[in-house]
Amino acid sequence: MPPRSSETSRVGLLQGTLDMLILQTLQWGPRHGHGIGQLLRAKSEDALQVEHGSLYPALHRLEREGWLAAEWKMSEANRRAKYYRLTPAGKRHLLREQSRWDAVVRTVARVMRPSEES
Amino acid sequence: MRLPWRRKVSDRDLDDEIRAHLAIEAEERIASGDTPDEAGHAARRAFGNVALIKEDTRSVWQRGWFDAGRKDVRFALRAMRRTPGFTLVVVLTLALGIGANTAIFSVIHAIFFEPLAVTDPGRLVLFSPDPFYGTMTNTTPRDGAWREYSSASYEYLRDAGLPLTGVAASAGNGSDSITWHRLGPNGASDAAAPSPARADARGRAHLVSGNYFDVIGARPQLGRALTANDDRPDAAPVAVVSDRFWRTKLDARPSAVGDALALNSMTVTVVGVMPASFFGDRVHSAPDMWVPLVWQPAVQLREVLRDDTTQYWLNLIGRLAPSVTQPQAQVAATAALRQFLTAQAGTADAVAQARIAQTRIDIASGARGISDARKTNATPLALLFGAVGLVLLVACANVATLLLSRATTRASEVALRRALGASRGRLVRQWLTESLLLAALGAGVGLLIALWLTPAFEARFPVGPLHARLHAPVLLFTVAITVVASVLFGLAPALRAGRIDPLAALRSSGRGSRARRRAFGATEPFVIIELAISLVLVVGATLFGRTLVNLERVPLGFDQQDILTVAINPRQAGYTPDNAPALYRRLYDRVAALPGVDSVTFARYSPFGGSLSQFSGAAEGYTPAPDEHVLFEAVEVGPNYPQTIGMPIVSGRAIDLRDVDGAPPVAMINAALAERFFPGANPVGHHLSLGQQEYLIVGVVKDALFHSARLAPVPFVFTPMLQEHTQMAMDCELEVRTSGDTVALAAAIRDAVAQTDSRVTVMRAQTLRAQFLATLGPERLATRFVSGFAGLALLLAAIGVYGVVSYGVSGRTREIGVRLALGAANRDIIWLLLRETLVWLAVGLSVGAVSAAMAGRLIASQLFGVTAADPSSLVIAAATLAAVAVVASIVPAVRALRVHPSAALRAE
Repeated sequence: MPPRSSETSRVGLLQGTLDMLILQTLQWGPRHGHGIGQLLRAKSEDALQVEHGSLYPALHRLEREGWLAAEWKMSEANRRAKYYRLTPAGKRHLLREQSRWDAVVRTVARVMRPSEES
Repeated sequence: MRLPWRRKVSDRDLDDEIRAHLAIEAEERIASGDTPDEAGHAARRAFGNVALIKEDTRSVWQRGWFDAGRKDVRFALRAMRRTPGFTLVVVLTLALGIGANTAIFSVIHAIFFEPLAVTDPGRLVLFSPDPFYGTMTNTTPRDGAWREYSSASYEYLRDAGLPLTGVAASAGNGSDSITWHRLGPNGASDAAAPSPARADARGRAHLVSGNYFDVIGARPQLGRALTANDDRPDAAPVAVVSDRFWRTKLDARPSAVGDALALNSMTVTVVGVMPASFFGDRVHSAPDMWVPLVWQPAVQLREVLRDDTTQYWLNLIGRLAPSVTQPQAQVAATAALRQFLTAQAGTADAVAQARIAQTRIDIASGARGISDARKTNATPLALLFGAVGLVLLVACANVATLLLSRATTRASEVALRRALGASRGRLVRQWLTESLLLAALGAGVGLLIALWLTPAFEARFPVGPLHARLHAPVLLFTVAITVVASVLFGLAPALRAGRIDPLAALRSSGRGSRARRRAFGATEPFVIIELAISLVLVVGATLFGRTLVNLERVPLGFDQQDILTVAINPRQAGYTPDNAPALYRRLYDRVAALPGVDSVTFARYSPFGGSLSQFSGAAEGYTPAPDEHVLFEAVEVGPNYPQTIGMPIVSGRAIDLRDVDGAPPVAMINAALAERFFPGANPVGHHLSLGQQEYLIVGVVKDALFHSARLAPVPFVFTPMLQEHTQMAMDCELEVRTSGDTVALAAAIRDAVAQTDSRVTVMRAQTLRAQFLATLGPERLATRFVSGFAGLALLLAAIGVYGVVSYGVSGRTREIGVRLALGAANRDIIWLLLRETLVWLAVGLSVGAVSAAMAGRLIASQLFGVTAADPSSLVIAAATLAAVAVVASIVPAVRALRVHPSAALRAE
């Protein structure tokens, strides 16, 4: 396993944010649940170790909402696994969530920055 | 959204998906150098709680709490099937409580809440302060609120333009006895027409105004209803008949409309038949027919009442115009009545004006009609409702103890589920679902019990033409108490299940005595509640029983057992006030000669027969206070009345054969009148007056009770029937004293009456004792039912105590075995187990005694001869309860002793 950086710590995620991250990871092609978890860990440089207790319910919820579609395919290791891919509706939802997230980040940053006027 | 029958596929899908994940993870670890075994374990550990994650993922697909609820229900059903005996006991216990409550409520609903079967009953109003049976009077009410109306005032109100779509009137005395028979097509009497002496030819007719059916909102099932045109003197006489009359007397022929009937001596044509659900505005069996008011003289066989402005003989009913409220109608009606009275008074002096200003009409809702049954039954039914509610509480407490005891046996199951990840809230919810399901099953069986119980209750309450049905409102009530009950008995066990510590429960043997004792800690309050409630009910039953016995033993002032009262109907036989007294004299002579008759007399009505007649009067030498209204009850009687009835004569003489037409008017008075109006003096020789008539007092008799065993005697006047020539002479009952068989004598009297005049019939014959006992119906009812419920509560409490003690015994088997092995005597073991019961008894009886004292205040008005806090009743009840509880505890205790010590010690 890749070494964990001593400066980063586990980050807690809200449900909506996890949904957004999952949709993001699927932008570059379909993956199965294990793969999604790996990718999240890799992209966040290990800060994000998604609990499987949250991951699978999230995946099924996204599938139920229609933002993901699933099918059983053969994996690289010739093993049958359930692959999730982004649907057009999911793509649109992702874009909406991205812009909302950006707005949240900006607002919070603004408040946290020390004010320049007195 | 996935559909339910696709769920199996996705369940399998999910299993495969997670299995694939674990396999991939394991393969990666193998690639990094772990052994296959290590890799598999590590993968699983890294994944987490597989079962819980599967559960959470699956729940994403569920439609919220509906699916969760379904799972709870399935689980609950499985749990109940595993312990069928337990489930059966619980369901039966609840069924008894819920069923009894439903049955009583259905009767209560029928008597108090059932609206009349007419169009839009909510708009009906009565022109009277409260719905009660009107009568007939010739004075206006003293408090100014009118109840009965004269024809003149009715017609004025009807045409006064009130904000009502119509005002109708009906005869205040309900229906009148009539004779009738069918007429052939050409108007002549049917060859097969029964003579008036046969019961077949008797019927009841209600006089109503032409617009009655229109205002009430009832439509006939055949033909037409009455109209205003039928209520005119120049109209052809018509009648509308009831469904029952049509079916039993007119053979339910569609061609019955148009039949001609002879009604007394008048010919009427049947124009319509009302539906079976319609019985008029009085909650009572429907009359046989409704006849327009204008035929009153022919139907009632008396003078015309319409022209007499001092005869208040009508009850009024109206229908509110759209968007008019009752207060508005009240203001308008009162104003109209006052206008009428002012116009009638002509030049109004100050006194008359003051009286008119005080006069008013109180408008009451007529949606449920006029019902006598409501007033007499209100308190008994309220008491029964309370009692049956208490029984349900006992049943709930019982079930709660059963469920609590079971919570400890299921402790390991609960612990396992907690360990697998179920939350506390989930478990509590699941147990509550189980309670709700048990309650629902109990309600189902309870409804079956109610189906059987309701007719039994109905038979004892005068619900009249209504039926206590298990319809929507009653079922709603059942659902409500089922839910409340399930919370009452289910909350404690559910919370208890939630509190079970999984680790401790799994570690311990699950049947240690300490664990068992903790369960007892929770059941104790319920057992105490059961005992307390049972005590309250048993005390109540005892008090009612003693009240009934006391009432039956009250000395009424006359001999009840040996007096036969025989009611006859001179009016229908064609007699008038002029010749009726002669008939009575003839009957008197004839019956006196019958064998077995010790003496005979007659009177207008007999004690406890339901009739009452009062007059304003004055006593010589007595000046009433300014606002005092002197009222005497007065009955016309025949010769030798006191001797026949068994009323002792205190001074003077009784009315006898000297007091006939032409002789001076005389009267007997009772001791109450003498004391109040002639204090200190001997009233014999003085005078008093009833209305306008003056009488010479010739005798004083001892007080007798005529209407209620609970009330004190009222001032009473007896006048000679043989001198009477007003309408007061038209009702008569023969009172016959005998020492022999009353049944045979009644038959002999019937023959004697028929021989005297074949037109006269005997309407009923019974002893005064039977007549009196019949008036104790409500008390007898209350006693029987409260006793029944007390017995039920006792049974449930006994079962509860038995259950808790035997559970405790089975948990302490080891302890008992040890004690026996160490040399304890059987007595000691029994005492050990009994001690707990005695503690519960002590607390339960104390709480119960206090509750009974408080509840006693509610029923104090119903009691007679005992106080609500009567100590001896309390002692009897407490002793009964203690005996039951002790027996219920000893049985399992004795069973415990049969266990061989070595077997007990080995038991784990």
